[in-house]
Amino acid sequence: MCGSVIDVREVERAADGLYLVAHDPASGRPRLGPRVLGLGLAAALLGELVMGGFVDVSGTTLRTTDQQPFLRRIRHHSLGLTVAGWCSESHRRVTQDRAGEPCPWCGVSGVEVFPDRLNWNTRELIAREPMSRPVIDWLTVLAPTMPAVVAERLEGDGRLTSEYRRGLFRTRAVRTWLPVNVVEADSPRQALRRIAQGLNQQQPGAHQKLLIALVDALQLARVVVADLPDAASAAQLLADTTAHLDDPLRYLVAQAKAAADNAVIARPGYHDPNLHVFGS
Amino acid sequence: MASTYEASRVGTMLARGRLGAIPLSGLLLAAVTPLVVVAGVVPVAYAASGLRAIPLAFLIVAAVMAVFLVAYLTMAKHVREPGGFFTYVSLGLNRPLGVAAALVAAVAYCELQIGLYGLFGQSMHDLVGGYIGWPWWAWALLATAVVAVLGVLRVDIGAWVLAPMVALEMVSIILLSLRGLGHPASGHLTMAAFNPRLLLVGGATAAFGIVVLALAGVEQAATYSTMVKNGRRTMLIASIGVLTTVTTVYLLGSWSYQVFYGDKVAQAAADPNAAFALGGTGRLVTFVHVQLLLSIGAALLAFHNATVQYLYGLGKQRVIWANFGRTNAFDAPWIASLAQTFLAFATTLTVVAAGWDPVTGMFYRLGNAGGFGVFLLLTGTAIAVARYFLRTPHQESIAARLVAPTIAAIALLAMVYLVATHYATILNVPPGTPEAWQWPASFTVFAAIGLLRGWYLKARRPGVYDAMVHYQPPTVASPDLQPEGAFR
Repeated sequence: MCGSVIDVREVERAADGLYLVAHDPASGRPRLGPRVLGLGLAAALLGELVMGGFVDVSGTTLRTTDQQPFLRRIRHHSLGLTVAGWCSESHRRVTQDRAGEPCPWCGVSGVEVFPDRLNWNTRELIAREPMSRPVIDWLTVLAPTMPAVVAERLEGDGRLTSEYRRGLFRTRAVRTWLPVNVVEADSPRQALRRIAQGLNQQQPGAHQKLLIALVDALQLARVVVADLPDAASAAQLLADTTAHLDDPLRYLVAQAKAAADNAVIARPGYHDPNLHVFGS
Repeated sequence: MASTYEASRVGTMLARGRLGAIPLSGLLLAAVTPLVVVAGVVPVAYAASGLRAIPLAFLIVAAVMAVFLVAYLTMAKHVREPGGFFTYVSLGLNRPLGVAAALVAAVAYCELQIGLYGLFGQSMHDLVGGYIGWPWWAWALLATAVVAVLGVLRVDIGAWVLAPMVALEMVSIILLSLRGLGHPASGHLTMAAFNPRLLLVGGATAAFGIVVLALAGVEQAATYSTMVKNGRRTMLIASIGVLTTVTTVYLLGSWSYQVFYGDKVAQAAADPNAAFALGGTGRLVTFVHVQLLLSIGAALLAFHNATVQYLYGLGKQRVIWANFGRTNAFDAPWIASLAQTFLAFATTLTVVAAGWDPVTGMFYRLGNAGGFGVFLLLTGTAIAVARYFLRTPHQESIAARLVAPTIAAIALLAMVYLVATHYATILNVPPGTPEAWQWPASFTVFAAIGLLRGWYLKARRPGVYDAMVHYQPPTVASPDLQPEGAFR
């Protein structure tokens, strides 16, 4: 059915990892509040764009580059790889029967560097803005929708499943996401645990470094190092890993941290779940 | 997820979550709690200290506060961080002093808040004592439990709920005062309260301390610096507006006491219901009493959050126990919140065991100590603002960046000195009593602990020290790059 077998984890994305670390894999309950989590995920998403070369951080502002992300979505099935999605040039759908061939429009075969619709949309949002805005503005704008949007991306990858739940005092049912596979959902955390214990043979990749930096900034390191024999030094090792983060990413993390503090400390306004930047 | 974005929504979204002058005023007024001041602080101040210069002291301190706010909010424009006094002192002076300021702030707001439990308990006891015979401390502990739950769930009273609530509060104060002024003890209105000679009486300047307690809360506008429309302009309009309003209301309230009770004001005010006596015995009194309880409730939550905010900041930066920086799924720093509640709980039990009076003992002592702490912070911040603008002028006018902070710093320093040396007058104890120097001196201990901790971090844990102030304002900000709805 498909030409090549590709491990989905190769295209691990920082926002996905952060989402999974920030939720309990068994119950799907968040370990952070919506504001703090949203800001962290927004920073992770912008980080994905920066690492893909689709946006630039110049000074304090964010601007798009000439590069555009591809829009081919990868799905992992038990029988192999299925490619289905959209081409960024022609906006045409890539059908399953063409999955093994190189894309007729962009010429790339198999897995792509940046097969992600969320990245495409976010880049478009930034590109359409007539002026370049500071990073903090983008974090603020993206944050309220981020938990749901990243969960939807994970759902699209078959890693989460959603259901509507009604709380004790709620009149409206709320959409909640649950991991499909508890072990798989815990894998980003386990990967970070290995790094924290110094068990990893190779250096963590750029996405993983960004993930670690955000985990550290959002006070989630304790979740990662929980129950380790030497938790303090493990947390320290984790923090040291982020020392070699690139400048734009470091700035993103610092801004997310500042904004998260802001969200915890300052009280009213700011978070309005009814405002969605991603249409309806 | 829909496939399209609407570009124009970005600006709208950024603008929509922001506070205008009116909701911001509501938040500030709720933190100032004018009714608590008029019904709780002013009569107790008359009774406990025997001072009569209170209306005059309001005018002087409000003027100094206005100058301070101009300087403070000018700096808030350049510092987009909500860290309060910690950020300002850290950026203006240095980080160990910032840590000291944060610790003093946490202690001061905590004292202000815990003191209020005493007043709340007594007021509740007075209001429903006829139906439910609980002692004051039972009500206080009940309030502690409620604040504990609300703090952990992070329930905030929105600006648009607070605004009409405080408006009603204002109306009830004005009604009370007008009725008081309409029934003068001497048969006609007197202006004796405004006689400047009253301030020349020995120790009368200690009234400044009580008055700062009454105005504490106005300085919180800078906490909202990241979320207001038009930045400094809105903050300045709201703070100066609130300052003018509450000063007018306080003047009216404290003057009406003197007119209503005449020369016997000190004795009469000792009655916990002195404020309500102004209103006679009708429905007005019940209305004001309920208003007072609501107002104390809002203040309990506001000062609880202010304390937790500093504990969270310090914990997050690993200056104190890092767990204070942990948040739960409600975005609440729950460990810091529970710690503050526990302290309130323990204090209430101690006060009960020691047999203090809930109002003149617990509320007045702790409140004044907290007020003095805020006084110290204002002074430190004024100096920090002056120094900050000396190093980085930021194209601000000389009046806003140099004259205002300097005047504010000198005036505040003088007032701190006067209050600290006449603290015995505030407590109405003979000079030389240990309590008269212990309360003000306690802050030196906290400041010293903060300073030592800051120096320790600088020497031993430079990573933590460097990360303390995480936002460094951009040095070059060209105006054409600024988005329309955004800050600045």
